Amino acid sequence: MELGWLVNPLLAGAGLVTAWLFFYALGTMLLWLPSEWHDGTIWKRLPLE
Amino acid sequence: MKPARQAGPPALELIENAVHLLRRTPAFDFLIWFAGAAPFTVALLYFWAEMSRAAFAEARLFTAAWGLTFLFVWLKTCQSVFAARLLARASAADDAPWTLQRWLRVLVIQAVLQPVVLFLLPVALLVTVPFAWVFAWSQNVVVLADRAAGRSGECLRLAWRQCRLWPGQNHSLLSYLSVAGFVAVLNAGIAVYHLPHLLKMLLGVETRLTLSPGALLNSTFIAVTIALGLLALDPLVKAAYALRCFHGQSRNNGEDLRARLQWLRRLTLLAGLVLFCLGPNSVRAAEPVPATPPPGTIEHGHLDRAITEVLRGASYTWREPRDWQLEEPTKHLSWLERLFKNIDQSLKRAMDSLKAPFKRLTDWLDQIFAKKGRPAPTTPKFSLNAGALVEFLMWLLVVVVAGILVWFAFRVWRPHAPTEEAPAAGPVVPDLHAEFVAADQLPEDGWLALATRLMDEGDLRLALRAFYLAALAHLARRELIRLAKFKSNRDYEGELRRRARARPELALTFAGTVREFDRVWYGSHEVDPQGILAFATQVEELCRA
Repeated sequence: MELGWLVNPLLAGAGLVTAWLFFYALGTMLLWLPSEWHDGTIWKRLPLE
Repeated sequence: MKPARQAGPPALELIENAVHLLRRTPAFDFLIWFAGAAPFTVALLYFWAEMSRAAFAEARLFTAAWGLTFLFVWLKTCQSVFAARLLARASAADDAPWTLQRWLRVLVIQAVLQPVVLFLLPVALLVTVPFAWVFAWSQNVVVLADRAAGRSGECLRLAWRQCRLWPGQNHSLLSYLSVAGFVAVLNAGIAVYHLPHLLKMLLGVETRLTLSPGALLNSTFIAVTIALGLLALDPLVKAAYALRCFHGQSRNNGEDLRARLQWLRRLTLLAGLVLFCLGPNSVRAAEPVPATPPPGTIEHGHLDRAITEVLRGASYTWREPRDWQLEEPTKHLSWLERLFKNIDQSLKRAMDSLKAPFKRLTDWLDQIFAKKGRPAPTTPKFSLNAGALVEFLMWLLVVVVAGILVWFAFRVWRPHAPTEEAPAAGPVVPDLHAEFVAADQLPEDGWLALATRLMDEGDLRLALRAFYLAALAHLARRELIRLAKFKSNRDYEGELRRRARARPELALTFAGTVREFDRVWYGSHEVDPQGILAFATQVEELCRA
């Protein structure tokens, strides 16, 4: 039985999962960052004085 | 030195051609590109904002990431179709219709190869050296996916071969595109920052950016700015890499020659059409004309002189050896004599060039008088001696210029005679009835004096405004606020609170002053003598604080 036609869909599926992993990691990183970083007030934590 | 064909076109030329290619691109192609870019950009920014702030973001992350994944593949597919159409236009090939099957083939290749780029690109950027190759490879995958006939392996191979080609050109191209990207992002940032301020100025709508300028550092603001800037640059990047692929592939298949021949064929057709439209007269016009000189033929000697004059111009003589300028007899002169001779010649040339307009004028006058029926005088005693006239005018000009210089020097260096002091004009008293009166129109003391005078005259409302402006002028002098027309009283309050954080009593006193002023000036509260005295005391306290 010829299964060559399956290669491209399988590779495309693997590619989709890879892209999903990237965006999932990006989302996790954004969630992990503190709110001060998102608000642009993280510098207030620095001991400036 | 490498031949141009081996080295590839320079990066700047590539960008120039890319811009030209984009200008020739129909709106439909941009629509295809936009159909991919717009949903992904909006979704990415929404994803960013959601993950940055939303309370239940973690619960939605799984599905949101899948949504972004599909939109990412769709983005790359649309970009690939856009780039393939650009490539077809560059190679002057007839692009086959885009069937559903063709779209699907491109989509599958993008789904297989582009997700890898998402991981490779940041790593390459960190390592720095391989970034240009990885970036070129990802762009080549976008451009060449259509030519791989649905085989991702073939597309990978083609893209890899192209990305290894002309690394110097690729690096230069990336440098130029980086500068353009930086400018685009900067422009987007300025636009995004100023739009809310325009909204506030024109419609009075308050937004987060107008309430707090510190929101500039907000991560969503930065993401929006970068996304918009890169979005604006993306078509140029695609066109530049499409042309790079076109030139690279032409080394093997001679596609560039085919494109040029195609243009030549079109040009020939156009020329034939033009000749045909102009008819037999134009063809006859191309036949050799019998050699009968028309009236007013240019004399042979005159023509020679004109040619010599043109050839002595700076645009033709700059490559000539220097010695030709020196006439033969000057070669035996010393360098000082040659210098003076050169100065003399330069002055003569300058005088000749100045004489030329006068000569044209006198010629023109001669022609006019000859045409009027008065025969142009041929004997020297009646002729207008143009040379003498020009010389006289030149001398006159020299005398006038020298006179002006002497007069100017006299004005500058003469001892200044004591002049009577003009009575100093008093400061202009601002109209306090006017809607816009700036606090910097008078110094602090000026405002206080005006307020006292108005109090004496019984105009308490205006006196109160003068006191308030005195307070603003005082704070501005101490650099606790910066005066500006567009700022409201609340803006000044906020600014003072920020700048005088160490002295909260100052901000409190000013807040009370603002409240009292607003009640009287903008509200319907009447001010009585006790009220104005209390206000004046408050302003005095503010000045002392």
